[in-house]
Amino acid sequence: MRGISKAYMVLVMVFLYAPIAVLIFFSFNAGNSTSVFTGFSLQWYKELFQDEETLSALYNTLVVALLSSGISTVLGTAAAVGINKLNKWMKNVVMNITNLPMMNPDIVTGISMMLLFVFAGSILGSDDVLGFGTLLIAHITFNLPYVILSVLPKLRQLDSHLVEAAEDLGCPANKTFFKVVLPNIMSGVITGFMMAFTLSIDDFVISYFVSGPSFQTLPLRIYSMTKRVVRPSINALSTLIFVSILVLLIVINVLQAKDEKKAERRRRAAK
Amino acid sequence: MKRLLTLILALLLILMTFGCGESAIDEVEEEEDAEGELVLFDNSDYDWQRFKDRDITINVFNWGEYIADGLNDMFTEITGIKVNYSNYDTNETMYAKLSGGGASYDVIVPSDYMIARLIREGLVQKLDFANIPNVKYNLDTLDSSFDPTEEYSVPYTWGLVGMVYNTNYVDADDIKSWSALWNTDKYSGKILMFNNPRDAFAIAHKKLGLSLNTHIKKEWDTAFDELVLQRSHLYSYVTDEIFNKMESGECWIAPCYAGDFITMYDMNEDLAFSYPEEGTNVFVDSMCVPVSSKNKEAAEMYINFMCDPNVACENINYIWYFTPNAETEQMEDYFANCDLDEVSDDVIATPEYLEKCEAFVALEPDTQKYMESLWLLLKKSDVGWGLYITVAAILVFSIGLYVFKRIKKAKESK
Repeated sequence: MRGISKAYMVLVMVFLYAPIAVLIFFSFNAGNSTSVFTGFSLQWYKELFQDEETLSALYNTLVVALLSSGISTVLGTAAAVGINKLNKWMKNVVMNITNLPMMNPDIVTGISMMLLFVFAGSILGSDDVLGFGTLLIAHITFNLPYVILSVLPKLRQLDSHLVEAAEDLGCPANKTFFKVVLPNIMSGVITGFMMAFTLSIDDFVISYFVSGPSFQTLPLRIYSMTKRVVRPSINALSTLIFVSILVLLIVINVLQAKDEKKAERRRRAAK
Repeated sequence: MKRLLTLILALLLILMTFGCGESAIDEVEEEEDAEGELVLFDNSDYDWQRFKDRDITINVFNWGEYIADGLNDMFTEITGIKVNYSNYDTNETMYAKLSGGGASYDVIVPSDYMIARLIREGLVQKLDFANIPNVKYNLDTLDSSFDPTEEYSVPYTWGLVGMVYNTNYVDADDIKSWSALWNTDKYSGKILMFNNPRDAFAIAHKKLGLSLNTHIKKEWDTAFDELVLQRSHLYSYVTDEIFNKMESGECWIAPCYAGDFITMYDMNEDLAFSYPEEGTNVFVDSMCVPVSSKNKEAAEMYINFMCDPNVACENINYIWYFTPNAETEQMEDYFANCDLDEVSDDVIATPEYLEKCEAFVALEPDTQKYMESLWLLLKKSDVGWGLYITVAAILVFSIGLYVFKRIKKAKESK
């Protein structure tokens, strides 16, 4: 039985990671095929750093991802705090409404947003509204529910006596939030931010409809390449993104583990 | 853990600096090359500088990977007009973006049938050819039925559909006609076919000696029967997978564009190319200016720049489709940087052959619908069994699970 469960685990890992492994492997290919390996070289990395279009698309993607996830984290956390205080019935209603953008198929969200922006643009008398601004608004919109969903459980877990204790001791409401509530829900906020960031980086469908000619993101650029052969420099780029995200995840995990250890130690010392 | 982290970070850093360092050196070299080589063919009496200080930006919307590196920069350098370059992957997505509104584009590069549609719907405007004198270099042998008055579009590239085949497995004599794709005795299971109705039906029509723009229902039916005959002997219907399947030798015959063949040939020299004697589909990708353009004259300047023979040559050496530019065709550098020499005769079509070729014209809505329904019919039986089996398996599994749980519960309650 044990052997079977181990084999199953291996199989799962292979299915999950084989595509990425192949992608990384071929980013070091000397030839420009994505199926025949002819030798080791770093030429695709070299080409990647010369491809200004792709690099500027990468830059755009990162800017939108950082800004939209930052803004939606702030808005989402605030919203979660508010929702947590509502009565049960209202909470259900509000949660359903906020979950709507998440349940809605991307393509519906994308098209409806484009129509809205074009409509708003025509009222304002501008016929090229689509661009950075609209892209940012759209990304914030679809990021919000994920942030709320990851912050809310943390708020529920938070011992309400902690807040009351702080207020009893004369701490103003603001300060209570930043000194007592926020540190306790921080892990949820960070998770929300990370989710929003990764979702924003790889969104294609919504971005496709709401972006304009002046602002192209990486997924849009890569997709437009597929009409002809996708060059292995995209493998190189994907490899770099994969490694960076891996590093980021490891850093966060290590930090969280450290925090937990510290908390554990403190708890023990208190006893 | 910490050590592992530092190791990964260090590796990443090395990788980055390595890439950056090398690229910097190369960039310098490239710049020198560019300055040494690429100049405009005919600079005489065209005022490239007239928008220099007006701080104009034009939005160019083109296919992905469809322009040589550095050409946009060169245009900016010469004219002072900045270029906002974005890409699309099919004519249809371009159309959706253009007709959706909310964005103004100055230059687009649609294919023939889409140009006809854009003209019909009034989405592109007439060009002022006084601003595009370089159009005089363009060939007049190209099919321009999509823009009969030639007032709306200036050709960018063109090409023909032919057949690519692997010389290790396929007899060159078998490949003279489209019927090679129906040669089920010798090549069954090794044949690829286009995965979109318009291209697939065009091949069937041409094989039968019919027009690919026909409006006669019966001719679509006979083409459909032909495609049904072929279906069970195909490896599969494909789009981009053609490259990998042909390069690796997994498949032996496939229809493909001449330009794409040159890309494949670079990877696998056993491949060869041939135009079927029945004639084929010719496509023309042309530059147009949408009505939403705010800088029409600057857009025309961009079109004029692209029509310069030297620029067109540089461009073609990257794209590897044919140029509509008669002057470029004569140049020594035309197709200079590919391994084409031995195969060039197969790829470059004669004017007589071009007579037999047809461009796509926008189909009547009725015909379009009929074609799509036939295509669905063709593809439906393709996946039918797999789908039914999967659905059945899921059903059986969930019922089994439910029964199992019920039994377990019953046992527990005892």
